[in-house]
Amino acid sequence: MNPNQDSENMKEFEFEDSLSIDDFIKQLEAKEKDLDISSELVIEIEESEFDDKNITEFLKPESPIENGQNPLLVSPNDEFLDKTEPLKNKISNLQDQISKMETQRVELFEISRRRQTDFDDYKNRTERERSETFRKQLGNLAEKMLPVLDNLNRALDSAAHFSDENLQDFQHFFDGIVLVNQQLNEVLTGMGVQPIASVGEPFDPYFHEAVATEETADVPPHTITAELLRGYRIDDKVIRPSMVKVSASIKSKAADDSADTDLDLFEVFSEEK
Amino acid sequence: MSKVIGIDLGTTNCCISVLEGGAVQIISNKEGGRTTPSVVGFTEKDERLVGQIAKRQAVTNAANTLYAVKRLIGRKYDSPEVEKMRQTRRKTK
Repeated sequence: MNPNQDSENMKEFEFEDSLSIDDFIKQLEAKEKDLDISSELVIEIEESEFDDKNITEFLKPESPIENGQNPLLVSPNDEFLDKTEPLKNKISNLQDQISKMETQRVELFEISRRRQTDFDDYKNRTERERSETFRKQLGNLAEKMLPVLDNLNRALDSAAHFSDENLQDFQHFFDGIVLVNQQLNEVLTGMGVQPIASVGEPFDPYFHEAVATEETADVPPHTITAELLRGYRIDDKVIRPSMVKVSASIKSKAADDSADTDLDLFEVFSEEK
Repeated sequence: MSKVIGIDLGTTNCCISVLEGGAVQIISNKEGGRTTPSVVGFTEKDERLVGQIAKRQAVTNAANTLYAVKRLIGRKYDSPEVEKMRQTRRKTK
């Protein structure tokens, strides 16, 4: 920017300004002549009562809140307290409602968690029962068929006592019965039913039921010496335990004999509850 | 939610049921039976057998097999019933 040009502009502004002031003074002097105002004229201003309530909005002083001051630091008055008291009550009520709702929320969450746990347990149990139901029904069916199989085996065993002449008479019939027995065993095997090994095996109460003891030195104690009724199982689940005779030493056998006579075990077991 | 169960502690058999959905459901034991014999057996290997398994080996292990102990619950040690049981146990040993 050129400094010489600025000084010229300022001079021009002062010149125009001085002209306008002269004109203004001349106009005032002309008005004074019309109003007959002289130096002796005294102007009196009548004072009126000032009413604060009727003051216009823009003349009112600015409120402390608009000035950014904390309303709590302002000296309290009755009007301010009247306005804050309901707000405080409302805040207190809202806080109570919040605490109640939080308590309800915790209770509902706990109920929901318990329901979820119960449902999971129910689901797992249902799945487990569903898988076991088939095996159980299969076991029940096989258990009802086992007496038939037992009687068939007894019939075949009794055939060994026949003389050769009688056996020739019933040879074809006997062969047919053997085939039926074999077929029945195959059906049971297809169902997963397997006989429990017993004779010569150590006694295991999970698979065998001891109904008698036998004194013998041929096998170690607690060994199965005879099978009175064959047991069956599906996988590890026992459908019917084998009823067996178990070997025992002389001392323990004596104790067991006394137990049989003194304890009356089966008498107790056969009692009704 | 807590469950309500009922226990029938019988002299010969025990049974446990649970109240589920307002209906009583009997809880099966490990062997699938709805009742369990009230028998406990202790083997030579310090194995503890309970229920049907203990009952199966009672003949071979009568000295260490207990049954019908419900009759002794609440009785004093020197009561006639307990004394009778002790004498019976001595005979088996």
